Amino acid sequence: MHRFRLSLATLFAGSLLTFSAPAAKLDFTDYAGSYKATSTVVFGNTVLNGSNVQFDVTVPENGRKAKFKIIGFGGAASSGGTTYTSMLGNFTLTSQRKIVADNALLAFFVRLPATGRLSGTSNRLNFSLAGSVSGVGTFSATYTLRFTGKKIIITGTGTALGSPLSVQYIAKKKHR
Amino acid sequence: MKALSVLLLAFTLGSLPIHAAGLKFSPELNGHYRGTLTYSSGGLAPTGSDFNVVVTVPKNGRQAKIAIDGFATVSQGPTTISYAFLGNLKIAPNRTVTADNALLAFYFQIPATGRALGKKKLSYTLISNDPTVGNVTMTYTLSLQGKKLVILGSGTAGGAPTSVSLIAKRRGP
Repeated sequence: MHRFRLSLATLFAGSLLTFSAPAAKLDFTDYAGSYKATSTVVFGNTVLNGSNVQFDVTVPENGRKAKFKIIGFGGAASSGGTTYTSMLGNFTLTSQRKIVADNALLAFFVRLPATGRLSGTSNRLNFSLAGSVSGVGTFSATYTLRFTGKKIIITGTGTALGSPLSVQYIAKKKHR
Repeated sequence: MKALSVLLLAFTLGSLPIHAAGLKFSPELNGHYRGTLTYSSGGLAPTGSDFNVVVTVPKNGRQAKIAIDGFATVSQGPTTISYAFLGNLKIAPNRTVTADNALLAFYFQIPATGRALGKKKLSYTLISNDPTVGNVTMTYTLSLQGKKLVILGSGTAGGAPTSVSLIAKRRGP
């Protein structure tokens, strides 16, 4: 009987181990706030630099969603000097590990809707986004979002219209 | 002698240029507005119905800042593209209008300054010589009363007749 109990316990423990543990739900409570960011978006010969990009993160009380809004201008060298193009983007991270973005480049002067899945922990998330504009081309990138408490750092690499793409945002929380 | 000095004073006062009264805005205008931006220029008519407008007036009412953002959609043959339109406008108490966009809001900056006339309904003209668009001359009327913000502009951009309208309603109380 004792041996039977032991084997049953072993079986139970074994079955627990074989079940894949569901990914932990994410909590974004600490993300909430306004940030001031610098941004760099590079693709092909185009380099867009933003130095005063507004980064607003709205989180409900239960911490299960983080709505990001990015607004700013990115300066690119042009024949007439520097042209400042608008950069606007909204994306939402959910505790169910989904990301819904209106821009595969996070923020850009053209809207490129995309969705993806999040992996990692609340402080370090990985996701991929791909979007396209019919008649123009496709944009895709893989991102890492790091949250340190006072900073949100997003880095991404991918392709834009067939050219290598890199994206970086360093956002510092504004003091209240 | 006294009569002469009174006459002189009256003459001096009379010859001084009469300045337009300074502007003062009600802090009650502060808030988030949502509305529609419509353009018409050179055969293209980008339109966006979900534009955000943030109006910021300090407690002393000495200036008004208006920030506009949203996506405007343009159809060119089979292709439909949504462009991010951004624009910031500041009206100072001395009636100077500083805008980062002579076209009110656009997908790249066209900085311009102007001077506001009027009291409740302000009118101002923004002129810019942009390397991408060319000469831009736009005359605007701005009405910000109660819960409604209306900015209407017309003029030329790069030689093409251009008009823009932003009609937004305040969200919440």
